[in-house]
Amino acid sequence: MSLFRNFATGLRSLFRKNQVDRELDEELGAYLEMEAAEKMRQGVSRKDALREVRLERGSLEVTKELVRSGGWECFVEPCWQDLHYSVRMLRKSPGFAAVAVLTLALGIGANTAIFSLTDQILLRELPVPHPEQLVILRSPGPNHGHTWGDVDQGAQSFSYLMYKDLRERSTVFYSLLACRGTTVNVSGHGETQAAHADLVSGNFFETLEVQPALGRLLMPGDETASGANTVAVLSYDYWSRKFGADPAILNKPLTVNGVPLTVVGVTRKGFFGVQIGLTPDIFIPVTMKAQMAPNPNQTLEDRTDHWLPVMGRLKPGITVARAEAELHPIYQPILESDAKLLKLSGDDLKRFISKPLLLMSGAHGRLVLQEGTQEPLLVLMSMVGLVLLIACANLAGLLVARGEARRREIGVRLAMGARRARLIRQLLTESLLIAIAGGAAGIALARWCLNAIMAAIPPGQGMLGFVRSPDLRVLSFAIVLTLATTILFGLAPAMRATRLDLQSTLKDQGSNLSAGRSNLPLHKVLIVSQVALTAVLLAGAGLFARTLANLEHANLGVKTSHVLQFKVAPSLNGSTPAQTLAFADRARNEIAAFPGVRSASISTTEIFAGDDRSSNFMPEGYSLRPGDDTDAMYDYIGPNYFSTMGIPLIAGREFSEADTASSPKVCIINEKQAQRFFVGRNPIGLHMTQGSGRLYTNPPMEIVGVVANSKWDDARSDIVPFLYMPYSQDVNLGHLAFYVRTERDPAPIAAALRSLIQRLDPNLPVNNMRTLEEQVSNSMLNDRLVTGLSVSLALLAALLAALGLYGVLAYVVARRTREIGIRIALGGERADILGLVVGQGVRLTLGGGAIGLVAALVATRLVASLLYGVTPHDPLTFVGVVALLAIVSGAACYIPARRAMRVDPMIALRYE
Amino acid sequence: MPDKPSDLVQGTLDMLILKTLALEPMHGYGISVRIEQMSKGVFRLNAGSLFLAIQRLERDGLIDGEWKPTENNRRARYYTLTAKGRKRLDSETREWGRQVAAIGRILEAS
Repeated sequence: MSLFRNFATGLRSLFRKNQVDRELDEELGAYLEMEAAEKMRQGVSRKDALREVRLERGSLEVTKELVRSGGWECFVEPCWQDLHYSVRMLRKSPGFAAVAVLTLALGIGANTAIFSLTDQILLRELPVPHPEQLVILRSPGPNHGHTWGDVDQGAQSFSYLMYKDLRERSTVFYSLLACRGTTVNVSGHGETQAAHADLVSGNFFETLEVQPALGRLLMPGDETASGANTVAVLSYDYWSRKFGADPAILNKPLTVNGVPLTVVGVTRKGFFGVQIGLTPDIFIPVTMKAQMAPNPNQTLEDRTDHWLPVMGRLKPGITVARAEAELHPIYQPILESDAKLLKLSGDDLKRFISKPLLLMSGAHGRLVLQEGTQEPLLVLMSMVGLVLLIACANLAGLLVARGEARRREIGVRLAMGARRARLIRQLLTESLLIAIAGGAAGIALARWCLNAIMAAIPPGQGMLGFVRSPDLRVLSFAIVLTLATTILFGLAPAMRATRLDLQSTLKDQGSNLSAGRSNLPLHKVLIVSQVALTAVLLAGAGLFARTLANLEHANLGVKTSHVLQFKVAPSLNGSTPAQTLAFADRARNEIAAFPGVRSASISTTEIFAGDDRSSNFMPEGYSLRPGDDTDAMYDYIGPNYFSTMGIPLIAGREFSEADTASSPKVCIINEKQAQRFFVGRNPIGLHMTQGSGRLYTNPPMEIVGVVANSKWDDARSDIVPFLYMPYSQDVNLGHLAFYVRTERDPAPIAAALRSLIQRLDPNLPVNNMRTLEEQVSNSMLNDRLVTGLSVSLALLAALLAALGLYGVLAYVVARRTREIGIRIALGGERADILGLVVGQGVRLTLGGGAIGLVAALVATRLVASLLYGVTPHDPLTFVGVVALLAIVSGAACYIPARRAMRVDPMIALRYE
Repeated sequence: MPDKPSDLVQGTLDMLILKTLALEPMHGYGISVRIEQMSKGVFRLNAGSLFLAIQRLERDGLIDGEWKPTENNRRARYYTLTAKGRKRLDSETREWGRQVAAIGRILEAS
């Protein structure tokens, strides 16, 4: 109660200062009046009485001051004054304030944005209890049969039966889950849309210890027999997005790939499966594989189909080393029985059964997105780190210069009797004000940057479910760092200034010729380090820019302009390969007849999407030597594919309508493949056979053509041996990627293509509709992000360095105005004066630049793997950096130099 | 007045003001005069320390202030002891008694 009362009274005296003062006046006045009246009663005249009373009580003002200083608010009030004064001082030098705040905002904003991204991709653990207990199983070595693998060369993919064996026999795991993502078609409300599904083992949620938001999650009882478990669990996000978070969805059917599944529950909010950046919409029992990811050749029971990533939760207290040791005797017999099934012998057998079973940390989930983004992110992190250093150096320089410039002001205030503590507090307030404004601007900038980066990422790049708000921990780190800089460099000059010998300061500033240089060395160090850091950033940005330019102009072997692409997956709707084939032929012919369409064709794997398929192909009439690799990438394509894609035919013919399912088997190879096995021979008419002999009994295919090499995954990838087969001869035909070459801009035709497909099959979702140029550009996403960000960061750093240099030179000129004036008056050449200022700027730039270039030579080697077509020590880039630094420092010198040259000796001598 | 006015024992001013107000509500000058009278001129208050103490007591909720007209038609702030103030006065008086007795015993010894 009394605390509140104290506070309230204090507030009242703070905000209603006048009234409180008046009351105090009145009360004290009444007091004196009464005392005087008492004296008069004792016979003193009124005038004398009043005088006596005043004398006795001391001055009224002192009493008032004493009473006023009794409350807590007397501490706040000067702070308020400090704030007022600081705002006024900053408004008087808006240039300084703006540069300081901008510098801080840049340092804080860029770091927070990049770190927030890094944190979400690289550092964040799966949001499940005890993620550190999770491990990912991998078995590097040869696989026989079919292997699906998104990372690690397929070492993380197991057959379903292998997974079940491990689950039943191993003892080191609390439990062992399997989970494989796939795209499915979900229909309802008269339309069909693609969705991400995770095919999961029954113990998936139990292992991850995930709770339902609604209903129940999948249980071991949901994994009984192939095709029998028609249940589904929705992710919270999908449930909210598609069903408006309606609880009535429970026990309702959901048609997925034409199969009605019963929705039994919804996962809790924030759970996104086991792979960062890929948020599944639906969880479906792994036993539904045949319906959800149809591939007629491979059933759930096929031991040669390696398609399931497996993760386990280790029992408490069991280390990875011990688990691996205990798993070995379990894994070995499983491999041996697999080898018997595969009829392996000799070296093949030896290599197969010596495959180890290893465990890697699963705390961050499956590292798919991380694989491609880790290095670019770390590079960007280092770059923004440098920017933060530059920002701090710049700010420090600004504050030191300001502190110097205010020595005189502080001297005067000290001489007038200001207390040191009060002065320091005031200067500190000013620094804090800058830091707070900079921090606020930094938060805004971080948000903006994150939004811009996220907006630059096209959908479907595996960056789903990312938060766009800045990371609080980084934000606080950046703010604390800049706060420390502000206080340190704001306070140090203030402390020095207040310790001045008054006499000398006041005198000194008035008449010194070449000015006390006290803080200039520090200043120069700050400038040199800024220039050096900027040089490093510029070198990096230059190399990335060259890389992107090289990538964009790389010869892909494909003519990307005027091509529109899209993808459909009829097999997901239960269409058989024969039905899909009929659909493909019909759609292709109808599209080719479209006005404005030059040609149209089909492949079964989308190009520049990171999808590829490879297999062994034995050449006819070639005896394999040890070390020969028969592995080649392959794809099934339609007639006119090469003319549509602009890939030149070197020899033979393209596939035609005459190549059908029943006609003789044919294939076309690329030059690389021709050079590998057919040197000095004409491959046309010879045969290739898929498979390594024992396992597959495929018919030989006649080589009917040779085409020029072209790139497949992205512009960086090497040219690999490639083999094309007609889609009409693909017994598993299920996915179709259409390529349409148009006369003019292909974009307007997209809607017409969509409605054409809709007309042919209303239940077929059309995906990835975009121009081939967009597709290629998407495949360079990392490069574009790294280049865009690093170039902007480097240019901003250069701007900061220029401002810093300008600040120092302007300060030097201002302090040496008198000296310059005298020199001119004594007949000094203006050119010498120019040399004086520019020389100083050039020396600082040269020093910083030299240090920076040496550092850059070391630093750029670290990013070598991100470069393309340019060495880390690319001379052109380094010359460019030097040229840019020269321009920047020239610009920074220009204004102060001009000012120095225009010094009028008469005015200069009267200066101060 | 035979002796010079002496300084108050540290911390006793608050107690004296409370005691004065326990008799009747009073303004600042009244308190000052009353303390001087009761101490027979030994304690003479400085206006600064008096008002500082009054402000402190009021903020602590031990006394309440109120503007009222005086006998000669001026306005003055009259202070009243609150219930909390009365309690504080009692406890301080008791404590004071204990201390004085103790000091007396020490001084009388030997």
